[in-house]
Amino acid sequence: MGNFGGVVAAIVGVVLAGLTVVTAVNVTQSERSDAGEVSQEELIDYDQR
Amino acid sequence: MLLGLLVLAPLAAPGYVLSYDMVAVPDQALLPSSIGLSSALPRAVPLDAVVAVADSVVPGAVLQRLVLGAIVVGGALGAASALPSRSPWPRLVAASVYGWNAYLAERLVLGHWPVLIAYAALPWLLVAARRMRAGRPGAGAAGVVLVGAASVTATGGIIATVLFATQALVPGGTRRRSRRLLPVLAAVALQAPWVVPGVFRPGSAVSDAAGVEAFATRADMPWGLPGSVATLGGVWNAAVVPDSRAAVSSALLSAVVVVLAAAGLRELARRVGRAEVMALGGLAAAGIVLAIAGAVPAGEAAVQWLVTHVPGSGLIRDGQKFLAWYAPLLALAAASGAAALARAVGDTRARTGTRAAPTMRAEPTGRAGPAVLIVAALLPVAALPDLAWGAAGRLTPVEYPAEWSQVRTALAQTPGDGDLVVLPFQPFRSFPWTDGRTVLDPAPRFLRIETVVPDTLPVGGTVVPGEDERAARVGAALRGPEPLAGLAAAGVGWVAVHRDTPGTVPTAVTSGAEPVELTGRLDLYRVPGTVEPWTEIPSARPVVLADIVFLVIVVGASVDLVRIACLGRRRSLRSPVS
Repeated sequence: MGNFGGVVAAIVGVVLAGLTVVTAVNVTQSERSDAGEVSQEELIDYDQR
Repeated sequence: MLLGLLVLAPLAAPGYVLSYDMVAVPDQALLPSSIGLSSALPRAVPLDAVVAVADSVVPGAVLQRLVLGAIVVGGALGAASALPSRSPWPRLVAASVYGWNAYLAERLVLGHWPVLIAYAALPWLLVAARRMRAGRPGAGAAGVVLVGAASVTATGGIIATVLFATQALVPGGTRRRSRRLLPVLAAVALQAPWVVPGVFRPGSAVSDAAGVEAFATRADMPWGLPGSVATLGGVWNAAVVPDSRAAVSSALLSAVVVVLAAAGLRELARRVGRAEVMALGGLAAAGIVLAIAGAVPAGEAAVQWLVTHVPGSGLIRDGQKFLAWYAPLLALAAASGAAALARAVGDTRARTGTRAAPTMRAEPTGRAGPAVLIVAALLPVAALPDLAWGAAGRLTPVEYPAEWSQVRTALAQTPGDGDLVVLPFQPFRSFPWTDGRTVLDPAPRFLRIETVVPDTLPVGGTVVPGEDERAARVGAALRGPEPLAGLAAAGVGWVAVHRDTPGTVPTAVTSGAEPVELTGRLDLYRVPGTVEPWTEIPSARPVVLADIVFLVIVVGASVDLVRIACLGRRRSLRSPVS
């Protein structure tokens, strides 16, 4: 039972570590557009989607 | 503390954090509008008064750092304190879940720091209410002081007061419920500084229906609205959502926290009592209902009816902020679930069968148990890595240009009547010196003069009309053929013009007004002719009385706290056991 628990914990740990790495990579690769493109004539939108 | 440092590290640089609604200035003035004596709805009341008084003692930049630090660190410490546990590891999980999540990240970037003061106070209020039920001296006073701190704005006050009241009046406990009523009534009375100006304000306090759709909760992660709300996200403004929320991997990590919480509810009930969990669950459900109400057809119609018919109901149109009520349950239950899991998989020594109190139930004592809990504590950080470093640099401080100080000095030294209008006449700016970040115009607070601020908000292509009739009148004057005459009739004697932000400025204003200080970045003009005083504001007497009530309650509760602390210290010194 102890070994089985250890194996399950190891698998869960590896999965969580993988998800962490994927999330971190996703964040570093994303590019956020900034408001520098807003023209002088345009109203600044509270929500710049 | 480490979580706080990770989030707020960029604030070590000098300057002021300006992000959407978050505005900090060097020395804010205490003006009549700071306590609600203005034509506008009392949205930042008594917040502006509190900041104006506080930053005469502490510089504005330091004050902002103290408040943001208290929010990020204080909330996490509160969650840790609110979880009864002999082991520090489950508390670490509670602190991590509460101090590192989408709600905190999104509201920080959106600049809703007054709401976050209430958010940070909630776990401490849980503790205070729990001690109050147990008859501990000073607990009621502590709760009242905390509610006072959270009540610097309407939303914060409601969030804190409702949680404190429901928890204080939970059945059970050694102190009778009737004796717990006094601190609850005091907490309700602390709302007077924003309620009274709202009630006595001339004009309607109902809002436009367009705001319901514009400010509705929306999906900010791959699993739609339910997933967003369950993981404390879903803010209406997509521009403040951390990039990581879009990743499926992040959603999976966040889901693990929610699953732990679901599994930990029973364990939490064992630790804090079934009645407390039931009350907390009911409030969490209410928060979730308010969050999704504006986002589903039937709920949207109901919220629209409320905000257009019931004065003050505009408070619920951004319903996602009420998810704050769900956050303590999520954090404490997730920590309890993680503790139970750690016990199950780790080397534990269950103490069942002894007469130990519920808080002393089996805690993970081996090596595997703490390991599981450390992994659980890291989950929120792994799911949302871009909250680190000031939300990925979005909370980096900036310095005000020197020209702004020139204009402020000129304004203080030049005689003239009337209030100020800042052009372009729109609430938000995008300056090059803020790296183009959208920010609520800091000029009204920086320039230390009463200002007519536009409250019409363009949101995602929709324009949400405001409630301030004076602002509407100024806007109409600026669009009209004789803007300066219209401004003077609306009590406006000064015009400041931003030259480095998008928007249009009527040429009739700058060509007809008297130049006072022209810097090329921020220019100041005086409106010629007689400026009519604007008198359509709430009556001063009840508003000032409301502020006195607030002060008396907060000071009285604080004195009571100090008195009890001193008594406790004296008793411990007299104690023969040391």
